[in-house]
Amino acid sequence: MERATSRAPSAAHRASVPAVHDGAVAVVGLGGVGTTLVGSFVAGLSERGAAQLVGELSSADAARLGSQSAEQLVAQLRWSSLVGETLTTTEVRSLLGLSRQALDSRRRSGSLLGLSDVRGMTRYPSWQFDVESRGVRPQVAMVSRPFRDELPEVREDQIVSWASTLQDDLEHRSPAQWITRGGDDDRLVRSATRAALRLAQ
Amino acid sequence: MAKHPPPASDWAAFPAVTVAGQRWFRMHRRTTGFAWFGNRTVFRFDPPASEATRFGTCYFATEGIGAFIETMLGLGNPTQDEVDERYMTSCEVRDVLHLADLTNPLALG
Repeated sequence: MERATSRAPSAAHRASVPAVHDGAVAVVGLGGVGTTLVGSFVAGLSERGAAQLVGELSSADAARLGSQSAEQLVAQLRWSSLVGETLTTTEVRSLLGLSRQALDSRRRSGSLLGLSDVRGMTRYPSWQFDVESRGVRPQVAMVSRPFRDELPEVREDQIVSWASTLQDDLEHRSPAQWITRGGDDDRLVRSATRAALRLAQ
Repeated sequence: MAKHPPPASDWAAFPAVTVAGQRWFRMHRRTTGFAWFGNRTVFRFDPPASEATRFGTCYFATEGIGAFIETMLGLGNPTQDEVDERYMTSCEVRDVLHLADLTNPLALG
């Protein structure tokens, strides 16, 4: 690994990174929330005693790691935006009155879809639940089945990703929207089968 | 399932297209062959259920990006791994083929 240098960054480099002076962070183009985001990132490094480790990085490694962090953050934001509202395991257990083991059993059978967040915690997309009846919508198992039949190694996030995406064959609604608005089940299952076959072939 | 019109007695007037020397594209998993024939009445040009044991439909795109879009975009946000586990196969049409033109409005009846 290349050692850090004290050489001043180029003009282009200066323009693409936040300026940090005495703990104050100014971020051009990301607004106030962006300033908070980057400021918290810098503060997080400091709180974790990473100043020395960061100081030992070369400029090239620092640029690469910073870019990787941004890429991971953007991917996380895009995924959260795609999936929409989610419930925690505690919230789902409370809603359904089920044990953690029962939830796991449902996930294994494909009648409930869970996702791991960046901290390894399970999150459940909210469109799966009928809050009034305090139950899981039966359409979750209906759409999971074709994926599991056609591609036994399919992952829950792949099904959720499809379910969160606008589909031509569902009148440009996402399966999640289709389900929550009471759309026709046969069309929903056919759409899932098409997606599963595309994924499997 | 959509109802199909009765078979024509004379196919001479059916819209047709002649192709030769073109390159067609398919995106598919590395673990499967490129030739996959749909016969489940799931995709647009799959045969009707009554003919499903006789033939199937292999779908190609005339451009690689078309094959990519058809395969991946309906799945939402495909991961890099999902892209990497697939091949983009192209094949050249060496013979002169006279094909039914199902994109012609006249073919839809």
